[in-house]
Amino acid sequence: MKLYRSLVYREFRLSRKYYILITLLFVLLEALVLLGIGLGLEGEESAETVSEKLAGILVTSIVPALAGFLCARDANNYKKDVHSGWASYARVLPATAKQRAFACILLRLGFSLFIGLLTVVLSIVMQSITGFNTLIPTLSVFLAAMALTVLLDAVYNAVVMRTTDQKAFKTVAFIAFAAVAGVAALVSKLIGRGKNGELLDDGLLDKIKDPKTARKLYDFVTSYAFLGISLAAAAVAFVVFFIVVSKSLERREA
Amino acid sequence: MKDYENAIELDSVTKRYDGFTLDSVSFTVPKGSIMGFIGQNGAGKTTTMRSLLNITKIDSGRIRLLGQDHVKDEREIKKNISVVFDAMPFDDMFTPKDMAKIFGGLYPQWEDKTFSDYLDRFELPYKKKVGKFSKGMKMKLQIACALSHNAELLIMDEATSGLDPIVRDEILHIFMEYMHTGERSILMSSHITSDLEKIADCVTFIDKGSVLISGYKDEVLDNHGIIKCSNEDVKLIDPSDIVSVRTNSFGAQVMIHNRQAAAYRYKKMIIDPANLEDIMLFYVNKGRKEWS
Repeated sequence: MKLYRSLVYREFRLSRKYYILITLLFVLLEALVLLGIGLGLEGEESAETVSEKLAGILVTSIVPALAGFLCARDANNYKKDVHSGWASYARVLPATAKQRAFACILLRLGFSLFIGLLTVVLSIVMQSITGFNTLIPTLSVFLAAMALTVLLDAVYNAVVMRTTDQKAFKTVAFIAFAAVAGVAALVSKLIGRGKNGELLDDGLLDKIKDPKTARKLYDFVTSYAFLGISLAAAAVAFVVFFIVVSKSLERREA
Repeated sequence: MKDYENAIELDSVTKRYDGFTLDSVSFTVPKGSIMGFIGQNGAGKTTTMRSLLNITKIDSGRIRLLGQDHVKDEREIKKNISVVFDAMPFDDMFTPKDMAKIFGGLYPQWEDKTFSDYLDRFELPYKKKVGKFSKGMKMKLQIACALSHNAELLIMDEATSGLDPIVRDEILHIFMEYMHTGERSILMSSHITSDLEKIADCVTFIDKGSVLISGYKDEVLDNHGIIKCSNEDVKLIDPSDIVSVRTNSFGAQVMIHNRQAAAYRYKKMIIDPANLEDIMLFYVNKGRKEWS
């Protein structure tokens, strides 16, 4: 336990400024969204149709999606470790590669939990203003964004952690970035295709104008199934990340 | 930690790179001793150290640290060793206070009191960011961290290089103090042979990836000597006694590797004692018949 406390403390000290910035940004953006919705409802009736509710959910999900991405991404700690020489020095310390990888995950999970709790609080406030449930969709979007980011970060780390050498880092980081961009492009292409592989060119906003589709979509995004799928995706992503990072840290110079 | 005779044992360790081979390196560091690991830049000191720390995979051979296998028992070994590199591996934003928190959890035997005593002794501020430290202060901090968890083996790679003589002397003094229990051992690589001459019990010379000499320092120094003679007189010395010959406009300097036997054989010649730097220079040039 003491060992994890040390490792997490080190990771946190390295990324403290980043996390403070993300928290402030998250609160500020959420406040703006709340204010916008609050002002938008003045003198008008609250959203009544499913399409309106769905549009509201979409708008309120943007900030949690961004927060999910920013919580789960690497705060450049490995780059800092390569530059300071810690990436190489850590191999002479008693902490194993698995313990170091787990500490890295613990910090991200801890911060994500904190932002997740803020999301819950803000969703409750949102619900009291708008009258419709945003808790499940925003949490689900937050988790889904986290899952995707962690998976992309695992790809990045698998490449970048091949070196502890400051000189080689720039080249390796460029290759890693290209790999992540490639995977992201592939994922977006798959998402944009239908069951038979055909391109879906209808915009989402156009789709939700259709009451039937809107109802289906609304039922799904407010369902526990969506939350469960997102949670499972995040869990799988973290497991993949743990395996990739611990294997990368275990690697010895050839 | 089980009982052991040698803190470090390297047996025929080989590691091949393009253009460089660490070739069947073998030596031992007896428990309770300081081993000076000497060689010019690029001789293979750092590769040897990285191999024994399992940072680099070896191609063949066997390495034992504190009586245990360096790969199989890596975790147990690393709880009981300290490593000091030539550059401080801590991020500039950390303070010594942060380092105490980090190392306190990593090492079961970490002692905050010992660490703060070293900081006081080195006059290092507890709450100043290490990015603002001088090179000497950074090295002192690294050494303070290394000495504060009761490590049985201290491995240092060029730890005193780049430091001024006063700081070096202070650090060497601390290393000698650290050894007082007789249970601790040090492997210290350096190309500053005068430092090793001061504190080492044993020395290992490495050049072009091969060990040239390894043994107790006093024996190595006693066995070697330099005959100063004319270039003509060099021919009187049996080539099998010679390590190498250095020539200049005034004559020749001949290093011999068995001083006692040479003193008997070449009674008319004066044999001066050699220091570690002389030995390193003459051995590095061993392949050349004469050098200047």
